[in-house]
Amino acid sequence: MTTSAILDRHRTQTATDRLARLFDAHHERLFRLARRLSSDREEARDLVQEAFLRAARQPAAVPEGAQPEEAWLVRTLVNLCRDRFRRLGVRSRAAEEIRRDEREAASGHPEEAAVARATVQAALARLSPRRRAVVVLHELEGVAVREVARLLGVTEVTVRWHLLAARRDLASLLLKEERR
Amino acid sequence: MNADLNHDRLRRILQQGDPAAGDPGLTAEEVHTLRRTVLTAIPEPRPRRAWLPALAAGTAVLIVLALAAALGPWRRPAAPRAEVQVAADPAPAAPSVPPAVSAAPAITIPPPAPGVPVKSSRPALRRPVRALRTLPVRPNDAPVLTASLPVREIQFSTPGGTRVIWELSAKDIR
Repeated sequence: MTTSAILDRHRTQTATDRLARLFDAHHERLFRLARRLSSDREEARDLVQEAFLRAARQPAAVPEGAQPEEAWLVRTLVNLCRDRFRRLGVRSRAAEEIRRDEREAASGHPEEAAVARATVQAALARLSPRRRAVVVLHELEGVAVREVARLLGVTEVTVRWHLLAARRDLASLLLKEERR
Repeated sequence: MNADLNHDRLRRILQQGDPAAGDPGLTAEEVHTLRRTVLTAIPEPRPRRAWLPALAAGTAVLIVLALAAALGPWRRPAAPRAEVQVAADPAPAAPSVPPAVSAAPAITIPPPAPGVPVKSSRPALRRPVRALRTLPVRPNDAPVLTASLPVREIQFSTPGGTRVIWELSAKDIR
């Protein structure tokens, strides 16, 4: 075995170890975030897989350290959501929401939680992916504004601006729904 | 006040309808499948062309050697070699000349005029000596020449321009 072959093997082994550690450390948290950002479970799993596949294809792009690599994965996940959001047009997104509402209604779950979940999910789906990520991270995961800014790679002012706009949009959707 | 109330209500509604609240997360089988998919997606390192650096180095060495051979310091113009020039005064043919005399073509060179002085080797007058004729010196020629030519003049021109003229007669050789 030549020296270069040994080095290549060592490099591959190192990349595999690092990726395995990255996956073990972050897959649960990433799936939870993906579940809140996506419309269903399957989509969330696809998003997580795609985020880790990007890390596998570009190992040098993933920064060293627990916090930087977590932020990189979160940003990658949000970017994947944005790509998917752009691919699906507004019309197809609306059609998807209608189908999901019909599925929820037909599934025979009259429980209040299921209805609330469907309502929140439909309201979140109307937000842009970045705004949705800001709301999910801050309102549902309880992440501080500064940490949200670090995770998404934006300024705190941008996070606050997204929060303000998202609350306004969600209030018009959810509070109106609650009054009904 | 109203905004805070709306904010709190909104947060409560969001938390009640959290999409991930009722989700148990990924199952062990899903995690295993996902992990395997991700870890097998690491691209193999591209095969390195180990011969490429060696080829480049060899080419560079060849180019350097070719340039050195073309422009190197040892490639000087060849120094002019001292040539033996023979000018001879034709003498009347001796009766004892054998037929081999005709084999010496230097004899046909016209001799210098008797009144012309021999040039000295002054630096100001250095100029290339015009070779009248170059003869290969062969041992067998000596008796023939000495027999046929009573007086021989041998001129040497050194690379520095010094001209040496020897006048030899048959009696000197003997």
